[in-house]
Formats: sequence, structure tokens, C-alpha cells
Amino acid sequence: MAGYVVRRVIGSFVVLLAVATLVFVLVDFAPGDPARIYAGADATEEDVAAIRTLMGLDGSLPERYLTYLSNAITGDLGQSIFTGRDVLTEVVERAPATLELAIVALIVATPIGIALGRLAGARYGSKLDTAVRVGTLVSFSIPGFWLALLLLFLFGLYLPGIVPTGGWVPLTEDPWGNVQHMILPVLVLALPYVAMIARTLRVSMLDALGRDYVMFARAMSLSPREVNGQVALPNAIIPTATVIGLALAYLIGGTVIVEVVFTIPGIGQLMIDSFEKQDFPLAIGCTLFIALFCVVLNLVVDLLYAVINPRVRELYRQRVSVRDL
Amino acid sequence: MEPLLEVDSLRTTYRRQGRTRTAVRDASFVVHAGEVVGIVGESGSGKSTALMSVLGLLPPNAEVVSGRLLFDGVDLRTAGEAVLRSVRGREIGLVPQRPMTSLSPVTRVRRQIRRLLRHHRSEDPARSDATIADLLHRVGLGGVTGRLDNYPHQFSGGQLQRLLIAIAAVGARPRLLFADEPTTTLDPTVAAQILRLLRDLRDELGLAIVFVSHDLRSVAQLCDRVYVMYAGDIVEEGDVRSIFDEPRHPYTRALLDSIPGRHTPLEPMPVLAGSVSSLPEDRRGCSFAPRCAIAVEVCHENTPELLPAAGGQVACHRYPAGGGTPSDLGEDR
Ligand SMILES: Nc1ncnc2c1ncn2[C@@H]1O[C@H](COP(=O)(O)OP(=O)(O)OP(=O)(O)O)[C@@H](O)[C@H]1O
Ligand SMILES: [Mg+2]
Repeated sequence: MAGYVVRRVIGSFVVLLAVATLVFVLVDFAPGDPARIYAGADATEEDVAAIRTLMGLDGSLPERYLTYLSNAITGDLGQSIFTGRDVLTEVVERAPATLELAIVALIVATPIGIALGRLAGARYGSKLDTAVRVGTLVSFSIPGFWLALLLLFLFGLYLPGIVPTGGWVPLTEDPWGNVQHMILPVLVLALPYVAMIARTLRVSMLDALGRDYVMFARAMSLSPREVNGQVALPNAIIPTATVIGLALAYLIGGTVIVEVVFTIPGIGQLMIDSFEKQDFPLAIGCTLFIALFCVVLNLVVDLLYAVINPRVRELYRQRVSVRDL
Repeated sequence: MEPLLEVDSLRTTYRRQGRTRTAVRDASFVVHAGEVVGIVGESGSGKSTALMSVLGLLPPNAEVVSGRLLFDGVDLRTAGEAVLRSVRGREIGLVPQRPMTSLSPVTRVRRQIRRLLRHHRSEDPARSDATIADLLHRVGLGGVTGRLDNYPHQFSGGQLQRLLIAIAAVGARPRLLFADEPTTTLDPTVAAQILRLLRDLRDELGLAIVFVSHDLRSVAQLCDRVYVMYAGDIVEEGDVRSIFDEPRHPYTRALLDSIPGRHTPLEPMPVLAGSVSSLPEDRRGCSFAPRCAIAVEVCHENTPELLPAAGGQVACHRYPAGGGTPSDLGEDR
């Protein structure tokens, strides 16, 4: 298992490196010249050239890339073109809002999704099952930005004063204010996530309930509650764990939208902003942070997966990757 | 004496892709206390379905259409889930047909044993490690007591089979045990051990057993009485001697003929042509008629009734009139 963890961590670095390379190259191809933007509209050609040298934008793409990488390894991601501050400082400043948003959404959505999926699967074909099926389909189909705007109008224009519709206060400064500000953004983020978990679990519950081990448990007079919760659910949760991992990508994509609509000072907003202004060092920094977040969460989910599935754990022991399955 | 289990005209159907198929067709059988009853018949003849119907453990696409399932005088078909739960495990134990998949793959075996015996054996020490070790010793699994914190897939099929017997028969101590092909996955020595165990349980605890098997040798060794099923019908019933020594139904004879060793080595083993599943649902006549060597016109027209015969019952138009002795039939073929 330890060997597996080490391999996965190394793999995560490779992913990060690939993301860095890709973003760096794409940004380089993007129209616009950071030096000219920084110099302003009325700068002379000489000024722009001087600034370009200052910003380290002379030289070929591979040269600049290698310089960037060697700096990045020491934690130096360059400076923002506009504020002149270290990219790392800017990103770290904005990280708490995004992390809180994503993690709270995850923590809220997972148990609700599991509870709904378990209920619907155990009572397959009942009214409750239909309600869950239709409800999750609807919430999964609603685009996040649309729901966010809808809530913004509803609570901003028609029902003002109930919950805040924008901004953010750090948990450490004003806990209650923080919770209030999280309500709408978390709702938007969590809804499709709940739906995805519930729908997957419902199907795998149904599958598990038809298995021989459930039949034998019933033959030994375990109650429906015991059969559902102790026998079917631990089996049904395994495919769901994979989905939880995959859906993280949605969650993180969702934070970008939610931060913009609800004006939350997080990484997503910063990233959109810096791309708009062609503040490329900052844009690359934000992208790398989001990639890092994805990679770490995926690692955690994969390890949890191994904990709940003994057969996978055994494969790890035999130094085989899940990806080889 | 009042039978322990009396199944009367049980009919069970499966729905699949909008079509309904009858898996058990008005089958009746009884089991007395302390009796070992065999049910034999080829794959698909409805043996497991009949047992699951009694326990109310059929899959959702199955339905018990009619019949009475009297256990201890209570009709389990109409008794409701609460009564069924009090019967399952405690009164009627089940050793399921597929041991490899009958334990949850994600939970350690020790936990599963405790969990499955939770509603049986009220004395709490019963769930202690020592008692679990006792159970395992009883089925010859003493060697694995140290491995109980493993998962089911780390055990062999034969070990799991014995584990299930330890749980369902020894651990829960029912009055009646449904053993659905408990020896098919075992090698001959272990199978013999299991048969001995089942017989001991019967002798010591008065456990009644319904023993479903393809292995007619085990049936001959263990059972007092045998039912022969074919395509959902019970075609013959009798005490074990008369079934094996003077089989009356042509299907029973064919089954016995297919036992290796009943023929001289040079004679090719007879193979029963066709299969059960090729029968149309709305068939008329005897279900075995299409494969029967001695079928006559009436066999294709009318369904034979199960009628008393010496030492048992048989459902065959050719008995006794056209049945003759087994040697006659051999020449017929
Ligand atoms: N879940 C199911 N859905 C539909 N049909 C089924 C189902 N289970 C069994 N059947 C059908 O019912 C018939 C009887 O099956 P059953 O399992 O009772 O036979 P069996 O005598 O136990 O056979 P085996 O010796 O192979 O265990 C077969 O034709 C089978 O195809
Ligand atoms: Mg069967």
C-alpha cells in the first residue's frame, strides 16, 4: 500500500507537470502581448521592448518554459503583471474561499446523495423512488450558471434580505456570516453532485439487492434494515465511490461559475479575471492550483476506494494498479 | 404423524421480457420431522425455485401463483413477512446453491458469521470466537479459524460451502434444512465428510433435511425418501430403495442410467437427448413425452397425474400397464 501511495504521488506530479506545460504553451499562442499590455497604450516600441526583457519574455518558448519550471520548483511562480505581487501570494490569498466552497459542497452533498440513493434503490418502483428519480434528473439537467442566476434574482430582487447573494467573509472573522454567504453557492454546487451520487447508488443498490449474499442474509432472517444498510450498501457504495471521484471535476468547474455569479473572491474568479486581462503569470498560477486541487482530491478518493474495497486493496498489495483492471 | 412441511400444489412462475414461464407446476411434497428428503432432477427442473418459494425468497420477477406452504400448520404463503422472518434461519435453514457468491465480498468473514447468526442463538457467548471456532471444527474447517479476518474471496469454494453449512445448519440450528446442492462444489472426500455431518445433525438434533442434488450417489447414501422433478413437475416419489432399485418413471430410469459405473465399462454412457428448457409453455401432455423412449399417443395428449404406486407415487401413463420392468425398457431403446 505504501508503495502504491508513493507511485500515485509521483503520478500526480507528472499530471501537474503536463498541465503546466499545456497551459504555458497555450498561453504563449494566445493573441496579445503582456509586455504591451503592461506598458500601456501610449508606450513607445523601446519601452515595450525594455519591459519585455524585464518580464523575461525574450528568448524562445523552450527557454522561457525551462526558466519558468526551475523557478516554479522553488515556489516562485512569477509576479502578476498588474499588481506586481507574487503569483503564489495572490493564489494563496484566494484559496480559502474556493477550498471552503468545494469541500463544504462535497461534505453536504455526499451524505444526502447516499441517503437518497439508498432509499430509492431499496424501495425500487415505489413513489419515493420515482420522486428521487425525477428530482435528481431535473437537478442534474439544470445548468449551474442558470440556477445561480435564478437564485440571484430570486433572493436579490424579490426576496431580499433572507440570504446574502454575493461576497464572502472568512470563517475565522465571522463564522455565522460565513455560513450565510455559503448557502446559495453551496446549494448550486451541491445539487448536481447529490443527483449524480443518488442516481449511481440507486442503481447499484438495486443490483446488490439481487445478489446471492443478500438472499442468504435474508435467509438468515436479517431485517430489511440490516440487509439494506449492512449488506447491500457496503457493496453498492463501491461503484458510487468511483463516481464521487469523477464528479469532483464537475465540482471544481462549478466553483468557477459560482464564484463569478456570487462574486466570491476565490481562485475561479481570479482565474477568469486574469485570463480576461491577459495577466498570464497569474492565470497559469490559478490553473496550476486548480489542477493541484483536482489531483489531490482524486488521490484521496482512490485511497478511500482501496479502503472500502478489499479486492482492490489486495491488488495494491500485489503491486497492480487499479487502472490495469 | 403430521408432516413438518407440507407443500401442496405449488405453482411458481417467472416473468421475463413480458413472458411468463412456469418453473414449478403444481408440485406437492412433504417432509416429516427428522426425515431426509432428496429432490433430484436435471438443471432447470425447478428444484431451487420450489425451495425459495417456501422461504419467500424469490426474486422480484417471480410469483407464487397458487398452492399452500404449510410449515408446522401455518401457511407461509399467506403468513406475511413477519412470520417468514421468524421462520427463516431459525426454523428452516438454507444452504444456498452458490457458495462463492453467498457471502458479501466486502466484509470480513468473522463479522459476517456474527451478523448472520445475530438473530439466532440468543446466548451471547454463541457469537464469541470460541463458539465460531467450534462451528468451524464441526464442518472440518478447523484449519481456517486463524483466517477469519480474511474476505470471502480468499477462501476456496469448498471452504465457503462448509462455512455456509456451519452457519445455516450448525450455528442457527433450524428444525428443517434446505440444502441446495451442498456437495456439488466439493471434492469427493470433503463431500463425504459433509454428508456424514448432515447425517450426524439429523441423528443428534433430529434435523429434517431437504437435500437437492444432481449427485445421485449422495442421495442414495443420505436420503430416506426421494422426489424426482422434471420441468417443474414432480414425476416420481418413493423411498430411496424403491427409487433406486425399481424406478418406475422413464425419466428416473434415464437419470439412473446416467450414473457412471452403473454400466459396464465398454457400454457407452446413455445421454438423455434434448433439454428441459426447450419445452413450450402451453404444452399438453406429459412434459417428458418429447424425450421419452416409450411415449405413446396419450402421453402427448394428456398430462399424467401423480398416482400411488408401490412404495411411492408416479406420474406416467405407461405405468404400470405399459411400464414393464427396467430390462424390458432397455430393449425398447
Ligand atoms: N431469476 C429468474 N428469472 C427467470 N427465470 C428463472 C429465474 N431463476 C430460475 N429461472 C427459471 O426457472 C426454471 C427453474 O430454475 P431453478 O433454478 O429452480 O432450477 P433448478 O432445478 O434449481 O436447476 P439447477 O440444478 O441448475 O440449480 C429454469 O427454467 C430457470 O431458467
Ligand atoms: Mg438450483
